[in-house]
Amino acid sequence: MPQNTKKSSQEKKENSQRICIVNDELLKNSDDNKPFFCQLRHPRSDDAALFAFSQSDSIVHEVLSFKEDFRSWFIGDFVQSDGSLYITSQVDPLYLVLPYLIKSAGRAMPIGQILQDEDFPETRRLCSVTMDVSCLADKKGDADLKAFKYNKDATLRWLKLKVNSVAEKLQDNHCQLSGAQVSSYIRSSKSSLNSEDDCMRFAHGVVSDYLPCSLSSELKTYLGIVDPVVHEKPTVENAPQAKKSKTQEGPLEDYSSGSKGEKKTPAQKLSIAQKKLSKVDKSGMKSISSFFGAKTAKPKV
Amino acid sequence: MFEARLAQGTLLKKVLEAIKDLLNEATWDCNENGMSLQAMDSSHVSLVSLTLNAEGFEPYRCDRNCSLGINLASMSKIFKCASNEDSITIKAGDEGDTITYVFESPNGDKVSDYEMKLMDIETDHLGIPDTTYSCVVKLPAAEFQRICRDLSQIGESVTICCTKDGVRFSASGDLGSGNIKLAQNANVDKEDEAVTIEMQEACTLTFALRYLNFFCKATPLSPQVTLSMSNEVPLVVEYKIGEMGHVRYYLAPKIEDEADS
Repeated sequence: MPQNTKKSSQEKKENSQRICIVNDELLKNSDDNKPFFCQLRHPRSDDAALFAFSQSDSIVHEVLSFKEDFRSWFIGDFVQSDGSLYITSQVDPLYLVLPYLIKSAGRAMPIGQILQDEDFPETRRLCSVTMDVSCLADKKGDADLKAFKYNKDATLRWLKLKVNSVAEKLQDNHCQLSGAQVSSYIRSSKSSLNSEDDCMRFAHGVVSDYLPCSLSSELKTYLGIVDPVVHEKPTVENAPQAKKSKTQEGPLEDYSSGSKGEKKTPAQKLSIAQKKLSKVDKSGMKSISSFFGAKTAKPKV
Repeated sequence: MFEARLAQGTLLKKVLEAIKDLLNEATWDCNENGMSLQAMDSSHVSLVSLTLNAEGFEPYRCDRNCSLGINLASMSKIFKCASNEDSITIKAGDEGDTITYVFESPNGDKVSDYEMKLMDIETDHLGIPDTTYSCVVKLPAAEFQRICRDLSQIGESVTICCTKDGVRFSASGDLGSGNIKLAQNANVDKEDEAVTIEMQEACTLTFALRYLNFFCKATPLSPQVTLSMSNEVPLVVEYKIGEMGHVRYYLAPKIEDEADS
């Protein structure tokens, strides 16, 4: 996240000025204080997205835009009708390299060749960005050649580290992850703590924003993340006290005992055959799961 | 992508008939070795374990392991639309939540395809240990079906008593009692009609007949059925599915509790 930021207007062309908050780092070592903006392929969407390189191409930032309706800027004596605010934020270049590595999977190729994209010629700039491709790929051949071969296991290991560190940060900063919340609503300290699972799931989501969809789901299984059950009913001990204490004593008059109908509604529709089965006298029969250990690996049959 | 074609579609139809009454819905686990299914009936006293090897299908393609949650009653309804001679192809995409069945007539004149929604089923796989059973009885499947049907006229449960001489099925009820005894006879010309008993130790077990009658729905699959028994463990009723797999039914025995009597 950019710590030292300053406002500067970028891309001075005729009548087109933008407001952009740029990280100082991006402006270092550049004579005219101009980072290089260009379009690259976004790893998630495969579409064009704007990125900014520092002058020596050593670091790369993504450019995010924040836009609201009915907003314009005054810039000097001009009104810029496009009221969006651009923010740069550093991004790990390996995320941008990853889709190209996956595309070249199975072959060892020099990094310069891997990072060739006809639609986005500026992709080759990534070659000079400081990064360690060996996190994602095996180095092959001579060191000077910089040839790499995609390694999925290494990639998943690396992504796991990423997710873990995001999750740690979420945990440390006590970020609220469980959706919307009224600001005046005071939660008990117990419930506001995010479980480790929540943090991992959220962190996986954050990291997935920079991953191709297929890899994102593979990472999910690799991390063992299970989707939560939506609208989980509060368990009895955690549930807030019921408002009507009367209900606990039950109604004073019970009208239902008179009617015999709808005593049992089966949870699921049973076929005629299964209804017959459910009538079988099962006295002395134990559940089959008491004979076979539940949840061992695959059954040996 | 999952795709499996079975030239002899009638086998799959019979498999469905064999399990759809016992199980409402089940998860088919597909991997490169084939398709398998494991599920308990709604009362959790019996278990069905079904395996169809990949070799039986032509072609068989399973790019990644997948679990297909299927309503078996619906699947069986759809399979009734296939003729006995048709070949059946099962297809499922990696992402989609549907499964497609394609039925082709032998000369390729008629092709019908049916799509069905998959469902989310929560299942726990039970680990079934490799047990050596004290008695393993092989008998003609039709004979076993007949015995179960006949004895269910007499009583609700059958006691199977296996000794060196043979195997005895007995039931008793309000109207009286009945016994059927089968002797070992391996030396008939037709292998399918043989009754063989492999025994380490004699055993006597009691089972609910109605469940056995449901297991007998698999009779058309195989000429022979194998009953494996040991005292106080579930009975295994196994039918081979051609050369390509088997369906096994496990049933908890009735154990008379001292508290009961």
